[in-house]
Amino acid sequence: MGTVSRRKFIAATGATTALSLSGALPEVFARTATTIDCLSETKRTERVLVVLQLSGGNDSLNTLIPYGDDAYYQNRFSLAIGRDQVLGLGDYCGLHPQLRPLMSSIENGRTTFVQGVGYPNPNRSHFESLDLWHTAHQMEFKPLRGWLGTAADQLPQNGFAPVLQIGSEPVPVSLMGQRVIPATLVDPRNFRRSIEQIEATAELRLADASAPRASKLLTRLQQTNETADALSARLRAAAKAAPRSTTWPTTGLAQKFKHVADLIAADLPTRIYHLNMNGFDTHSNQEPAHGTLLAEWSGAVAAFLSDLEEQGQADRVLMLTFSEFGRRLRENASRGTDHGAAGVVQLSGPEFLKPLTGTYPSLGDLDEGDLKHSVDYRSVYASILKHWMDLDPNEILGGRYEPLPLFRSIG
Amino acid sequence: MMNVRREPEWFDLWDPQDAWQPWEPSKTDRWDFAKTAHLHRRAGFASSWNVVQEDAKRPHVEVIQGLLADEDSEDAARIREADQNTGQILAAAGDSRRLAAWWLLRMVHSPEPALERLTLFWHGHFATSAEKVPETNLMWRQYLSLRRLARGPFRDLVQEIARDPAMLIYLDARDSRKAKPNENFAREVMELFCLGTGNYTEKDIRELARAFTGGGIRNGKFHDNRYQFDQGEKAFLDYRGPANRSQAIDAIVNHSACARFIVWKLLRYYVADEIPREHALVTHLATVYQDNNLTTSVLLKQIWSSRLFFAEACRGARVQSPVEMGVGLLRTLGISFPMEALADELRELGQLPLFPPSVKGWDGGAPWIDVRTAILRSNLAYRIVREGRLDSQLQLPSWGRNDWAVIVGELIQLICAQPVPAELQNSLKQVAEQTKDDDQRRLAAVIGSLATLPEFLVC
Repeated sequence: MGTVSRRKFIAATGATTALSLSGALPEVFARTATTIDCLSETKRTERVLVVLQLSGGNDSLNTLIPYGDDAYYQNRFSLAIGRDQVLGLGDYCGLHPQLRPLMSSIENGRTTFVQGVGYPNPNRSHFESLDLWHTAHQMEFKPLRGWLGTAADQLPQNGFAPVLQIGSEPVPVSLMGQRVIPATLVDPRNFRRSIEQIEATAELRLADASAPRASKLLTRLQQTNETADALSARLRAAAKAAPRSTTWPTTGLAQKFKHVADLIAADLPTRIYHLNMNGFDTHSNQEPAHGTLLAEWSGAVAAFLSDLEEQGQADRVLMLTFSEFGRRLRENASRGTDHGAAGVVQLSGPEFLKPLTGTYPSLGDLDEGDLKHSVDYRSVYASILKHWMDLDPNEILGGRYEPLPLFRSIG
Repeated sequence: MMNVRREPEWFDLWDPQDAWQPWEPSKTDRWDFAKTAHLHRRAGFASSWNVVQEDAKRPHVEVIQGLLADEDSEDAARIREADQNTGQILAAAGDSRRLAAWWLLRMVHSPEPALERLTLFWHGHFATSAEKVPETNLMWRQYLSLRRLARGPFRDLVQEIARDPAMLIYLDARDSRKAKPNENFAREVMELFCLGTGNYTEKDIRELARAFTGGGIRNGKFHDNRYQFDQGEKAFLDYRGPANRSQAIDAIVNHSACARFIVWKLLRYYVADEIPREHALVTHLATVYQDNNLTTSVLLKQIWSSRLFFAEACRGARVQSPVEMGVGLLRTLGISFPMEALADELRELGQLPLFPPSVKGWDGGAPWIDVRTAILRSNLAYRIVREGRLDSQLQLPSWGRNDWAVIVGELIQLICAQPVPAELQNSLKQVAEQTKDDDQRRLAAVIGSLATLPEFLVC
């Protein structure tokens, strides 16, 4: 009995997309199939942004190390990285040795570090500072809206899941928009409902779309349910991407990046990906823990870039790494570092103007012991929004910020 | 305060004076099954049909009073004793994941579900994660402290937590010396435990940190090292003086922002996810809290008895947390399910007790549900009923009569805070009727399908 009425339902919607897909998807998904993009043969051309958040406040002073400055060695008595170990990028600063996997990308002009990124009146609370980075200082909306979610609201709607987080954390504020429903998943390969195994539930799946709900909350939750079903169907249809040869590290972060690479290879219409890595709140015994984190980070990013190159997608994907703040210049009594202010931002993917963008903040001119910012993070955002995403940054950032010159061939 | 732009919510329509008045039943607004189920869902972790039915026949004031006190029976005393022993054994065994599973089990069968729920609130408020505290017995002792002091004056909780070894380890605050005060704990006392952002300055934090110097841990217990204590004058908030740990905490708890902050967090937990921090409903109740020495049981009694709490629009105005959903389903249907498996599932859903994601605890509210957790929740609901062990007689009046239209109706009444549209109830009935084999499979198909609907996700 179910089969007949399902067919009727599909016919009634007049959705040819659904009919053409009926071979690729189980009939159960006929409803959701109407809302998904066509599985076309041509490769996508829209640019993609992958954002990585280093949660806890990454110690930028031990990431991009000012090894040419004695003040660094005077203040980091136990934590300083020796001059001979730093991977020099010029005479003044260079990378932590655990960032070596990024060196080839830097040499190819496809990675840049932006120095001294922060904002006025630095907030040293993890949560508040993250909110500022996520919302671009626009805290007057409730619920909060993020710069990426607001950007996604303005992108051409060419499919579902325009923003997607890989990971089990709650969706970050940065991805919240007014219209867009951010998606999140851990592993695309097992993203489905158990009850789909039961034939009998098909009727329900078809019916629920049309039922009106009494409250805003219920309506929003229902939309999330529908997006989940659409994404689940699409991911399984796309599961058969061609295998590639990049060797991925076995770390958690590398696995997340691998999922992103797989979804890009599968031509998912997602424009913005968000990943998170924890552990950077290094108040005590910072080494060797921080070095291990940097190794995980650089190893995953290097594998991701190499995979994209193999896919021929290197020019289409930009990745950005940020953290809510840097850490204090002077190390504390527990061989750790406390919350600071300005930090570094890393960008990889397309060709950049310079391996180092901006100027290193002075170690002699501090704000309550912390580095002062020389680049407002919203100038980095403005550049990405304007030059990479072709959007108007002023509206999204709620103010005018001069886009930072970053990219070689665009902008 | 910044001018916040947000759309009006149902609670904005309430005058605070009126909202917190005790609700009184009337001929048109009776104390009934739906209200009783709402109280059990919000104050505790929901209850079975029979319990709700029984309580709907008692005066509501008595039911609320019962939720705030220990049950006085021999059975209850035996369960408490057994729970205490089992917890102690698991704590000594040193496995916090299993201890978390044990706590979930206690939430399911405790004679005082409201106390466990309140303890979970304080655990999320004074969040400490076993991820960073390898000594399970310290997590256990923190749990016992939170539970023992949960209903009493807030001041006692903060004084205890400021000497709690697990907390001090979690916040790297166990060896703060006067030459180098550790700011981390002082920051969280102001930002997350007592006042909330905007009510203190960075300088206040540095001054407060000096009052906490000298505190450490010796042999698993709090230890004050007076040689490392900074005896000098401190100036934070409106306090000026040589404050030690105790005096500093008293000064902070006495600050007027403290009552507002805690009331706000309790209202988010018990009434509405979206209530803003500076709302008139919050400030009004904060006065009551202050007048009662910040005694939490007094505040909860007023909240749970109020007109606002029993308003129609309050039902379903919160998104269920993963623990509320998992524990609630086991309690309402009387299902036994392996607790370690439940703990693993809840961790995936973002809420494993004893393992909060950060010192901020669990944010809660609408962000609980994204496309990933929407799917995982329906899968968990299905799994619980499919793989769990049902009581021989499910506590539903029409269970076993094979009339699935009625069974579906009763399930929704019991489980869902909001009615499910009629056409979907009909679909659920068809799901049951088209599912082969036995009643447990049919029930699993119904609950698994119900869990794909938004009505299942709210409470």
